[in-house]
Amino acid sequence: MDKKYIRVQNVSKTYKTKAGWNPVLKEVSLEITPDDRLGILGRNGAGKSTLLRMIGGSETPDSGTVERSMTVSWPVGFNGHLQPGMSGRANTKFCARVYGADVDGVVDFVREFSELGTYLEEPVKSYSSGMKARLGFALSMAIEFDCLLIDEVTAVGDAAFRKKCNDALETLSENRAFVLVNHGLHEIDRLCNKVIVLGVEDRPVISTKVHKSIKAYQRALTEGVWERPQ
Amino acid sequence: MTGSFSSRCATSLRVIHALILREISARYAESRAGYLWAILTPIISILTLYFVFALIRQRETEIPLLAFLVTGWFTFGFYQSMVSMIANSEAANKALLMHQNVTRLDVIASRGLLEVLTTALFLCVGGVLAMMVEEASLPDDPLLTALSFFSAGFVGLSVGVLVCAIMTYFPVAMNFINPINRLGFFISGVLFTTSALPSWTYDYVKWNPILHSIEGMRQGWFETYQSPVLDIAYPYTVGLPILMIGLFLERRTRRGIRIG
Repeated sequence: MDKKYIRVQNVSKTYKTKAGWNPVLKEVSLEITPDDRLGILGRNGAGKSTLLRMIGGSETPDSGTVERSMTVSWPVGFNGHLQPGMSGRANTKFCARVYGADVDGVVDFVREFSELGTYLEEPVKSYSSGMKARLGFALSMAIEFDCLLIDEVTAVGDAAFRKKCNDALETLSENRAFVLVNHGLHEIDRLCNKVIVLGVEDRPVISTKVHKSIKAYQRALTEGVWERPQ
Repeated sequence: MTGSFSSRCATSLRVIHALILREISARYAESRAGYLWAILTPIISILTLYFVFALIRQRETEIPLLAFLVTGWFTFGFYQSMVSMIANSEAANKALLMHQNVTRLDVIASRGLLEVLTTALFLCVGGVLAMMVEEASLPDDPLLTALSFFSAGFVGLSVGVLVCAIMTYFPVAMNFINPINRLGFFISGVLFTTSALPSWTYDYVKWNPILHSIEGMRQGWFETYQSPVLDIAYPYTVGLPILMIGLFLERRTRRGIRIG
């Protein structure tokens, strides 16, 4: 079997803002293999979501390359791709077709996992944000990606659904890679085996000492002192 | 991107198929009357023009009036809707580009294909209507008719791709295209045939590619009409370089797409 990987090399990205060009990412390099569960830490605007979109390929870097031989999900938790006028079921079918998955199988899985019941037949614009999150997360579980990108998914929804998501991720972590952003620090600590901290040093800091890095990051946030975990 | 060329083509075809189904249900999901309304709107406009023209116009040609309006209206409409559909393809489907498999070119291709199917269907409905009302004939030269009809769509596609790429960095580009297209409606021969113009104007009006598309439609459809300026290769000759520049810029502006 081919070795599966995502290789990010020297990726930089600059956005044009009203105040001029704003460098968001500077020379980021990292590799994701099927055993990796990567957590991305950083304050708002540090480039977490941008990095996630680069990994997923929905945005192109200004310089550097991203190579991948894995199938990668969209950033789960971002539900803008759901067409508001279409029903949950129609949206599900669209996603299944785009990824070449078995349409009926995906619909069945989503109905089961999302617990949306008859709401699945209603247009997505009538959904609450919690319901959209349930649909989006169920979809990402139904289509088998080699690597899941997860952005803030457990920030919404009720406690029961949050637990369901985390349980699903835990099961998943045995055989598939994922990247977590904006997740609770506690969850990142528990689920990830690698973290990348953005915005504390000139370059991103990558470490496999997850617990120590989170502690150091928390200290940087509260006391303003960053010490690289040893 | 992953995979060989052929597997990427297969992915693209699958994605385009999914996008077309999605576009149809998104456009007409609100009500089932949506389909009917989409075809009724141009038909009502054409019929209104038909009655106004029938009252005021001196008949200077042998062309049946309703078929004359149908050929002009839908050919120009093909160009115009193609431009706006393609130019807006990124803006309208930005969120879908979050899917690794979906590229901007897939979106452009699916919208272009859907527009061809829709407008061709509309033209057929209009043609049948004209035949019922005026006992007009089938196209006299089907090849020229088809070539002319598609030339309008082709120019629209080319301009659309170019504007789409420019809009990534300059979203105001659409504001320049809209007034040009509105003006185009009056100077492209929707409401006149070139033969009705004074002959000194030929040297000027023949620069307009859409005029050739519409002239070609009429010469191809009506046995009795012979256009004084028609060169059906012209719209393709104009469209092709525009399309090439558009596709080049489409590649160059991809990194400017901002989704979040």
